[in-house]
Amino acid sequence: MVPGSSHSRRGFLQYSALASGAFFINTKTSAFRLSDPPASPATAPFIQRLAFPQWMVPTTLSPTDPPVIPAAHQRFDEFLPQKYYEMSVR
Amino acid sequence: MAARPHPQLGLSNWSSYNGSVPGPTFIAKYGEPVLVRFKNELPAVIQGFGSSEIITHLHNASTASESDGFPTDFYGPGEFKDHHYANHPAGGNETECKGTLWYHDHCMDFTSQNTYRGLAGFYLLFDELDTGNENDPNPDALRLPSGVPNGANTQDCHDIPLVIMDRRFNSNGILTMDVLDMDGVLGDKDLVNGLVQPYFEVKRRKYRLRLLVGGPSRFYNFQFSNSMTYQVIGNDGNLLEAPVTAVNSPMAPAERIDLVVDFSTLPASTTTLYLVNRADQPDPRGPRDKMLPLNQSPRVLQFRILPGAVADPSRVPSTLRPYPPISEAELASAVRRTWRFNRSNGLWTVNGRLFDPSRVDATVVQGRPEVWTMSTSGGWSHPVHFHLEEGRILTSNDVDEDDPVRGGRKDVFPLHGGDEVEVFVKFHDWIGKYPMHCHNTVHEDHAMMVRFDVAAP
Repeated sequence: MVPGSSHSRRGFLQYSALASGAFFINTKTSAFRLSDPPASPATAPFIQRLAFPQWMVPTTLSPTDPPVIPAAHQRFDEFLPQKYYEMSVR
Repeated sequence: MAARPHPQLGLSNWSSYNGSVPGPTFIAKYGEPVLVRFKNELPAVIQGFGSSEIITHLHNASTASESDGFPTDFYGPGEFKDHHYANHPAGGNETECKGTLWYHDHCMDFTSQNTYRGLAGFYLLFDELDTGNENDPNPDALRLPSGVPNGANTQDCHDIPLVIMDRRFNSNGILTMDVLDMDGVLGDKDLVNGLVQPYFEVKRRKYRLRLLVGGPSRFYNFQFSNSMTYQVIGNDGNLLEAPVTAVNSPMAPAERIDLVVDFSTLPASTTTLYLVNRADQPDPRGPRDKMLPLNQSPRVLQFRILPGAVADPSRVPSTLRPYPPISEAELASAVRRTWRFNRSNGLWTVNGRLFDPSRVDATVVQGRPEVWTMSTSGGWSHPVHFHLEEGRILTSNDVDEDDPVRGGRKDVFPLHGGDEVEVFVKFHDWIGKYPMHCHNTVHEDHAMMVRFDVAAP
């Protein structure tokens, strides 16, 4: 599900950023910084209990909508998935 | 996803895996291949910083190119990508098994911003040696402290993944990042598993702590506030061949240290203890050689030591996992390559060039030994990481080659100003394109990266 190419736009953005960045930091000996970033607000330490994420829970079946394409993966048949997961990036 | 990493901070917008920062923890096993469908359900426009385009990399995994998360394999909202993780030791050699992996975004130009927004999580691998069961009756099992917390369920959990990430917040307590700073980004708040300076209640027994420095740019040097010793059992994703007693552990972005600390050795009067950061790093250039005084070192995590003795069936064996051997013949026949990570006219380069995903900077032959010499001549630190495989440091001007910790299998090689490191590596199992880059991900996003291709023999 990878789009064909966004390289041209990204290339333009990248080289624009590099060029503008080079303007600000073009020195081999020191980092010129416009200003120190402002400090974060003060926070009281150690008032929250350490938290942990949940374990990832497998789905029961291979995805069907659309199905997995085995040919898109090297050695898929040799290493047939025994568990399937769906991760929502949001 | 809106979340508040501290009650005195504001609600910030984060990017998340399944609504969790850090993302859900994978509990995986060798011999159990899995398939993960990553669905991009981000909004089309991301507020502040970061990208709505993503690609996920399983860091330190032996993964086929098409599932590895090459930076230009990104995709947008409404799309998905299937990642096939074989959970197969490199070359089929059990000494190549790994344990502490992590997954994170790797989108070209936006890795630092997307991971800064929260796109990172643990992927823990177990096998017949490191079984994740301290009561395992199998005589071959290591029986290290076990039990990975599952959300709020921390009952009998003594195998503790800890991702440490520094972040900065604006005057309203909202997560902020200076995306124009190409040197690197340093926060002034240390978050552990997504929370600012939390506390952790522990029993008087052994715990396995898996420390991960999540980046983007800060180096750490961890130590307990009472200078107690602990046993380092793993380095990056790998168990050492034998545990090493240590007092402090320097760590670069993306490095991992796997340690066992025994709280039963503390006097009954000790009720609190801190994990502190002794690295002195005033700017993104890297840490100074001299550590901060212990009493001036920032406290990252508080341990609250519960009273009373408890049973502890776990152990730290004197031998862990042997290293894959490196023969003289392999060294003699190895293809040698040189990679210079430098600042060139204010830009971040490798061998004097910026990253071009269409340019193949090296083609390596699957299974053929390689010796890569990586260096930096400037005053900047670069934690260099290559995908697909890990290496062994043969020589280094900065690291004692007999150093039992840094001498282990590694996938991140911290270079400090003037360093030169010689690394042995063989690329097994998969072919295709892979990157190598500085894991100060701000440097990576500004083109300090190369592409190498693995070709069939």
